[in-house]
Amino acid sequence: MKKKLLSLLITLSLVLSLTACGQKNTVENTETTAESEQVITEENNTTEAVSEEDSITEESASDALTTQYPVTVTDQAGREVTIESEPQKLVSGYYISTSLLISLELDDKLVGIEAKADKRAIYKLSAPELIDLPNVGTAKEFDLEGCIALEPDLVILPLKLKNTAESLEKLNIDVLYVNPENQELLTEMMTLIGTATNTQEKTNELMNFVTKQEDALANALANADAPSVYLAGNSSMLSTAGSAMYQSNMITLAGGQNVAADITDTYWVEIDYEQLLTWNPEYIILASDADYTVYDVLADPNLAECSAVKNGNVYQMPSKAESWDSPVPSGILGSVWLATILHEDLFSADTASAIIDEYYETFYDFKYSEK
Amino acid sequence: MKFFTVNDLSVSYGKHEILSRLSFETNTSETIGILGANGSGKTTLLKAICGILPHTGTCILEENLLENKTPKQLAKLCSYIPQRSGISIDISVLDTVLMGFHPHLGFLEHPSMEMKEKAISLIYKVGLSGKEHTNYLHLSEGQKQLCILARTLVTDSKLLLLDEPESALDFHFRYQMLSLIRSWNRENHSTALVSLHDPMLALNSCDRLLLLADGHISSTIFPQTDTLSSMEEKLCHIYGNISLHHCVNKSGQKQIVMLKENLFEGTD
Amino acid sequence: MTLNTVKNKYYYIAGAILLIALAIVSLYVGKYPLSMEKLLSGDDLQWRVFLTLRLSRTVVGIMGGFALGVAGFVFQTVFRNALASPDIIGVSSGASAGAAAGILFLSGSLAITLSSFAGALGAVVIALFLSSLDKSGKNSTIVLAGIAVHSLAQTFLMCLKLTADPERELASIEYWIMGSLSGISGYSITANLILCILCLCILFLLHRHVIILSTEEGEARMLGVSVTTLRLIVLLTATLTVASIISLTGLISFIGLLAPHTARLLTKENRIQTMLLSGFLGGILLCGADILARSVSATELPVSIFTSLLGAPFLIYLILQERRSL
Repeated sequence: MKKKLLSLLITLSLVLSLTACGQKNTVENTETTAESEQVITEENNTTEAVSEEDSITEESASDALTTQYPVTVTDQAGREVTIESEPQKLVSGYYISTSLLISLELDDKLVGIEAKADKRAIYKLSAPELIDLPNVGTAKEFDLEGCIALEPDLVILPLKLKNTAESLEKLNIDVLYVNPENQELLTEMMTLIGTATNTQEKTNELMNFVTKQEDALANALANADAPSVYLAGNSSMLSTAGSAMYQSNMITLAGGQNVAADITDTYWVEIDYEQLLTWNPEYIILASDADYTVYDVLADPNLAECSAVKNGNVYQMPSKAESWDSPVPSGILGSVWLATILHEDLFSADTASAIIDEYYETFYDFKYSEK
Repeated sequence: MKFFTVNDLSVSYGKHEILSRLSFETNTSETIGILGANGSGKTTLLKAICGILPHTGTCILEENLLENKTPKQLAKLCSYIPQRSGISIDISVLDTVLMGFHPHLGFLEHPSMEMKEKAISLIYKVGLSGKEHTNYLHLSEGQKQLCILARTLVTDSKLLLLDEPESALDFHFRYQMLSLIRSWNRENHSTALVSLHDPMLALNSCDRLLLLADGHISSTIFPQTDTLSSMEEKLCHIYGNISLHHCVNKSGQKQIVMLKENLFEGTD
Repeated sequence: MTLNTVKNKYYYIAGAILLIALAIVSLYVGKYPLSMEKLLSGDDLQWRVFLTLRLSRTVVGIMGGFALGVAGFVFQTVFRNALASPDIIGVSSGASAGAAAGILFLSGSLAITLSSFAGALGAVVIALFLSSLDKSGKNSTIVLAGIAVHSLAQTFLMCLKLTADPERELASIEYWIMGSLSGISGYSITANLILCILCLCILFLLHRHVIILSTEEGEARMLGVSVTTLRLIVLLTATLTVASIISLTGLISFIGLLAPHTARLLTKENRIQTMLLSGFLGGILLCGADILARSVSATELPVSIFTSLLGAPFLIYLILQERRSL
């Protein structure tokens, strides 16, 4: 009997923990969305506030878009941070913010970056010295002491590290948490970092470039039919992004229609072959960092009847410099590239190549097409 | 050549020698009790003979050297009943008894109808009739021992090794079990080595008693023929100051009774 | 209390019927719109989807559940432990570590299947080898060695996870550990299924020996069994059965624990039919869970959620029922 009771208890606890896990996930999801919404509203306020401040500054100093220190900003964790003077030593614990800092010409102020920097092609191409900088760990394993030892003025970290990095705040090191999960949050992050580091002019330039390309794409593809596109995720060809995800916007901008638009999850989801065959997409696009190749998809016998495979319309998003299918500052280039695949007649490869070159020449000082 | 011979049997756990150069012989149809204080090596002796424990020396049963046998050959020659069976799953009495046929079955063979009939007749014989389909785990401890005894008897092995079969049994079952074993030995010309806790049970139901002390057989008792005083002297080494007496029960059967002397003065 | 063989016969029949019914339902449920008319009219695409995807998935669901149920029965019996599962000698953790290594260092689903298979087998071989160093041949030694190998494999897995790219490899590893039948297709399952069926046959043929192994070591030996050799054969076969399935599907929890438990609670027996019922229940659980995993949402959900959601309440009910009857 004891044994039976024990097994009962164990099953019960297993079931409970399972349901608890499930709940936790959903709770977390709603929390993050709620949080990000909150951040958006608050951030809008502060941007307004900042721009008001700016207009005052403009009047008084007639110098366009400089930050007057001390400045108070609200980061993407909803915290108010007052920065006393222009930070001279920066640590960035997230590749997206690091990439942004390069484009804002702040790479020589960086004293520490995230781990595995040698895997990021963009650093090699634009700021190879970053690779040898001390690393402060990953989003999973943050090196708190190592970070403190660098004596930074400002530390930029992903929101995931909020609990880990509390001690930094206590040591009076300014910390900004960023959470560029979608285009809006990315823009917000750019404004935030631009203000905090006194590089608003460059930030605006970068954002204007994005807007310009968005408009260009919209104009060029105004009357085009939107072919159906299946975006195959990094982890498996049977994982994809629903409409709530950044990657779905990228497809829409490029004049395509995401076959998984009905899925509203905020993370990559798993589907099965039957679903993919039912969607029967005209194009299959592999994410930049996919573990498998275009050839793997073309050779998969289960997909032989899929339109995209039959017509050879399977492509992989380039990853020569950056993964454009993630919310990085250069994310717009993903749409630019995809537009040439989906609408070659309306948006030529040469145009795209020129745009990509312009972007990297302006912000990263290298010529993409020559690398 | 005797029916069963043990020569120079020694068993050690590490450096500690439990049995040293122990030898004895038995005849066919004999029921032999093994007596000894706790830790004197009764269980060790039985386990060594049936090959569960590594040992030196030899055991020869009807010209078969037991040490050379595979488990299957060995199981056909001798069978061992542990103090308690390890069965801990729901299984019927019949299926339990049928396990005993394992050494006689091919690798993928299953018990035949005749085997089932024989099993049922033995279940009847040990006094569990009508319980063939009862769950083994629901039996009383005594009934479990009887069931395991039936499992042992189906194999027709010539040497039965029983390790304190009476320990879990109440008074009635103790005598029933021992008399069953004794008559079985006579009918089948087999020999049983039974380690026993209860000296009175041993004196009244065995043909011969081996007394274990200090790793070897200190003395041998033939309860039917030895004088009471000689038996008393031998048993004193194990049980302290005792006396033996003949008693006659109401149906006129003579029995040996063992009494403790100096009852309230501690040992000796 | 007499073992009720007549009532049990109904359980076996009910189990078989329910399993067949679920198999038919499983053939009807799926994302691709299959229709009977088109199938009958010989539509090539419809047939291909039906055979390579729908049917294969159903077959793996049923065979997989069956195999996990039977293997669980064997593990629990041999170890005389109602909580024993393939994990007790490191099968699952070995398979996970193998799969993770495959995801990190190799590419293609076949490679991952092979490496998880190798991981499972490797872990068990190491565990059994370690336990063979202790000559006493006790069950507990195997369990201890299994626990050691299990934690070693877990550590290895943790190291692999640490080096994994969080965006893709880590996600793949996590998905693998949660288990799913979504990637199953007729092109990749033949070898695994053949191995699985072969091992299942051996386990059924050895049923009598498995039961004898459930007694104590000395007792089994005196019943004429070469305990160490036989146990090695039985455990390796059961491991192969499990590995052939989970290397295809990823980890599937609870079936190996729930199915045999339930079968025993229902029948109060440990006969060959009980082993079969355990297999039926496993098949019902996995097939049922997979039907839910692919139909309740627009996306694929991990099948283990449903195996435990379906199985655990039933088991709890049975245990409470048992208590009441005492």
